[in-house]
Amino acid sequence: MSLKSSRTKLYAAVVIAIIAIAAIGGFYYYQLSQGPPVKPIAVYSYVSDFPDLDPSSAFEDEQIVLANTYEDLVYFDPSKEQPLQPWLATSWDVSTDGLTWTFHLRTGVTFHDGTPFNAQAVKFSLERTMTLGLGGAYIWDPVKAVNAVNDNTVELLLKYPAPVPQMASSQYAAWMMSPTIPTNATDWFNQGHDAGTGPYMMQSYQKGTQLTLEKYPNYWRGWSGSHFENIVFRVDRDPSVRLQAVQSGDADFTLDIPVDLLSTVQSNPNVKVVDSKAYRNLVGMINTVRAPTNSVLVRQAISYAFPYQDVIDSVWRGHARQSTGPVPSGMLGHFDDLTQYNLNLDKARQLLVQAGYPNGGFSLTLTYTSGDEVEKAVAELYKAQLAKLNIQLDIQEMTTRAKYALARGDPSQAQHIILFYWWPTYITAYDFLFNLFHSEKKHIFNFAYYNNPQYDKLIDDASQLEGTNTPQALQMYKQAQQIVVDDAASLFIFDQDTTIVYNARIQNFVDNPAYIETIFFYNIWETKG
Amino acid sequence: MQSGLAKYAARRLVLALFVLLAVVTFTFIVARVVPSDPAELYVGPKATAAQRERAQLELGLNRPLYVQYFDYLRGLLTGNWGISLKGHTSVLRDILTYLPATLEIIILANVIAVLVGIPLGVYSAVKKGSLLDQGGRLTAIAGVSIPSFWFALLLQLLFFGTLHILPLEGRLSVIVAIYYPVKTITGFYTLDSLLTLNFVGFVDSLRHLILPAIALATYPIGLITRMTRSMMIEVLRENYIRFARANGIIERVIIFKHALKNAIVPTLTVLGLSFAYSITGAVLIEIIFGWPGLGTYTLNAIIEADYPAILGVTIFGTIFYIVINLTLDIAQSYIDPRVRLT
Amino acid sequence: MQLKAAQRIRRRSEVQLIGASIRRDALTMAGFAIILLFVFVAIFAPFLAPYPNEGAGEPNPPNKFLPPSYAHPFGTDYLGRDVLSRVILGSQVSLVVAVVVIALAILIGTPLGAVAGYFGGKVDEVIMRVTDVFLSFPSLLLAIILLATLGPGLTNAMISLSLTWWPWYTRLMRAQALSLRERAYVDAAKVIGVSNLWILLRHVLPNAITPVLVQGTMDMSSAILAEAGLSFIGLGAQAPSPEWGLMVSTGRIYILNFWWFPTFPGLAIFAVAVAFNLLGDGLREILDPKTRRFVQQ
Repeated sequence: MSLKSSRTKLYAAVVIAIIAIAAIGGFYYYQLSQGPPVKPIAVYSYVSDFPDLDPSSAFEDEQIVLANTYEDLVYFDPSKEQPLQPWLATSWDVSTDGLTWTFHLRTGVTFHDGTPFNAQAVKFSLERTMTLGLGGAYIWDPVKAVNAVNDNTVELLLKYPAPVPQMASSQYAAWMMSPTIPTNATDWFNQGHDAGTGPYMMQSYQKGTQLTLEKYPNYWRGWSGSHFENIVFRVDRDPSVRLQAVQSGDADFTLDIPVDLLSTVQSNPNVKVVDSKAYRNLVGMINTVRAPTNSVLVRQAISYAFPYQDVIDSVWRGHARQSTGPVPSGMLGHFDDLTQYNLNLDKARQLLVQAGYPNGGFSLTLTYTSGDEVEKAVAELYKAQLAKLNIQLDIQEMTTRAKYALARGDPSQAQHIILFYWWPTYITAYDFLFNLFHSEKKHIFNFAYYNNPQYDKLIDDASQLEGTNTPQALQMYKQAQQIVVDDAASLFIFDQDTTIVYNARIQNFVDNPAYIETIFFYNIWETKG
Repeated sequence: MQSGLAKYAARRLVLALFVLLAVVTFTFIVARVVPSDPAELYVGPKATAAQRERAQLELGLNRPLYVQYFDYLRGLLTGNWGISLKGHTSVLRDILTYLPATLEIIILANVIAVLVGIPLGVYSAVKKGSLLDQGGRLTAIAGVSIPSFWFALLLQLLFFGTLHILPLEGRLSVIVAIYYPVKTITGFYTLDSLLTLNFVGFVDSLRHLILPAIALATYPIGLITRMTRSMMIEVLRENYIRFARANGIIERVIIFKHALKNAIVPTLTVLGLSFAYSITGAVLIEIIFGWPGLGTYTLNAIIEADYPAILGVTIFGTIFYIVINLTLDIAQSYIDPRVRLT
Repeated sequence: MQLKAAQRIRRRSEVQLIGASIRRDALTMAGFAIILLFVFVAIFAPFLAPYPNEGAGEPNPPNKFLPPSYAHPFGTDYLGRDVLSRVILGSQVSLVVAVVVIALAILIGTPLGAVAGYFGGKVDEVIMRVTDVFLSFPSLLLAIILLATLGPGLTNAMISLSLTWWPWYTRLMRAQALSLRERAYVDAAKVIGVSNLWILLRHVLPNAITPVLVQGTMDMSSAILAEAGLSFIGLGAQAPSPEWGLMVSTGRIYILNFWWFPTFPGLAIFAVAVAFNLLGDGLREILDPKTRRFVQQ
């Protein structure tokens, strides 16, 4: 084979390849310019993927999907006077001793596989969740037994009084599923199947990338009026990507956009930004066991040294509020008239003198979650303020696991201040007050290592009353909160807003903070054009 | 000659297995030493004490360490690589789900590196001392010096932010993913879209693949250019090349037939190194391009201290690495029998 | 004694010739110059930085995200800190990283390699197997796992990186020791009764220095890149350290809107890495025995 003919062949091959590529490419651009077939689809660009789509054990952010494919017995609507609203249950009542709750179920509801929704399904769902014992299942700890009285009535027998309707409205561990699921269904769920009653059902799932839902034709509320037919959840970890998507119309909803990037879309008419009170706050729990923060005076002093307003202004540009106590604002059990610390270095100095540290002169360790830009900024701003009191703050960035591992060790060796977020599993102040400040034998989340028997009794008693005598329970919660604020067992930093960025064509959108970051797509629609 | 090859291959295989066992053991120990609470991750942070204890039992954490170790080894051989603590799903299945995405960029990156690096290295060596040579040297050096994650950001800024001709991240754009979805057959979007005649999906997946592949290719380009160049320089200096020139054989034939053939063997070594680098480099690239591959999976597993997942990925990565090196070693010894003596 | 003097003279002229060779090659010279600049900046950083406090980490919130200007040639970051000052102070971190990681790797790896190559036999086998295990790990993964155990932080990152690097020096040293083992003067020394340790220290190590030097120079570049990569993931340097990789990582999401924040630190990493590679590359060409034309054997 001579060099010349092989060279010609090479050239010919290259030319053919170029033509082929041009043809395919041209076809592609032509197709896209024609515009895709128009279907009412809503796209939600989300920051992370879904580790566990099993409705019994899901405990991360899967509820943004599950709340559209499954339903609870009760719906929590904080915008209403009585937030506990009927969902799959139409009404409920409780015995006088508070130990038996009876739920009357909605009729005419079916699961996506056609099985009718009834008391047996409720029993199955609750028992499966409790047996699996993962994620949010602990909320059912007060339940002794579940009885299907008849097809439309379910009885829950309790070991001790508890606010069952609130529990039944939870975004975790309270979803109703069809009894026809296979045994050991976790893998089955995570491959993209669902067994709910909700308006949408699983269509396709590429783990880590995208999840698509399609409408369930026999949904009990019906499909009259305008509704989206498909919902797409996209995993886009990069906030600038998510923001781009909403701006260009590729996505309809997103959240978790750093405030500095938000300012770039303020003037864009295609994009709406709305702040919704999330039931989520950032606390800086202070070690009450280790010196020098074992002195309440020192804790109060450093509480007066925290730059609350700076954090709100520069880190959040106003999309957050300074906390008042451990329960976030907007939530049942929050009280605006509790004592609030503010940045007051003079007062801090006075307290330090009283505590025996007239010129500061000690160092504190603060731990926060690696990757969290907000926590990092908060830590750096606090460090600068404490430096003015001659207190050195050693900032340590750690992975969540490492951070908790340190905090769960020996308190005298643990950090002085630990930053983390808290939010409730179901809507009750007890979730904050118990998990954060109740005394613990083995440290789980009480990273102030706070041990106050009076406080413990107050909140335990309140929790038992909550289901039957809510107003009194709330008053007791308020007392408990004042105790913990006076003791400065934690820095109460800010209550976060969920800032939702969405496309201006969306209509009827109202956020429900009881279901974190969840969009109920059945309720919204879009304008055309 | 064949028996020598077989013996060599067998020896390397035994060594590889031994090394793999050592790696598994090492990672197992490290994963258990890391201060973390596997039961808590499995059962969720707010679980009751009773639920935690049950989880400990279910996960077999109460058994002595060596029992857990041997159980784990047995599981590895039978395809049971454990359950991820966070998602309660099979680790092996998760790894195989995320693998094709990573392989797609690694393969394309190395193909680009070879297509760019070898010709550049060759011509740089042939025209030694010239401007082309300086350019070649600079490319080689720039390639191995550039922080790939930074270069990736610049690519995004240029091609998406300024020129708007390439997408920012992901494997498919939203429109295509919804209306022209690529059916998962092999997991390689480019291949799958061609197999299903989904040309829109094909072009779109290619457009998304380009920037990550280029960013990942920088280091291999540097390596390959440098290696090819220095090998070619050495070979071209050899006596038999001068002899061939003196005899009037055409320059191009000399270069490609004689010199390049001798430069192939060390290039294979470099290719192995470059593939190995790609595995770790992919972690950084995947973060920047939101690429749902093994890199992302690994990072999340480490941050969450999800030790079954960490173990699974480490073992998988090591097997991959060992297999590549073994293949290259055997290929080398086939071409150059002297290697069998090492 | 005359032998020693002759050796000393030969060494000195060797260095002079090497220096001359460096000067002759433009690229290598450029690398050398950049490194000198880098070391200079690192040493005098607090005096060179226009806003040294901000460089060290003090926030200045009102100045958030200012684009490059005369007052702030590299702009400001998410806490209003001058990026140029941060980059200048970051050079200190990078210099320490480069030197410590490679020095540690050499300190661990070369003695092991010398022993393995020189004594051979069982000792050699064991050391080689251990290096094999370490080298079978994808290196970044090994570093990440080690960091997960030790906890994130700059010191731990440096230790982890040294632990992934030492096997290369062991291999290098071993090859050198192997070839030197056969040399005549070693045999002569043994006959005289000089101890093995003495031979290792006086003869084997000094002669093997060259390849280790070349490798070490180029590895400094890789060490800086690797550490930047670890900090990028969040496992290396921690806030408010002005480490370059950390700055690129924090600034990553702002690349489209406030490009200066991740770009300039990355540029610094690139420049320093290139410099080390140029120098190492040049050194190798100069010191490679096959291309040596000026030193008589």
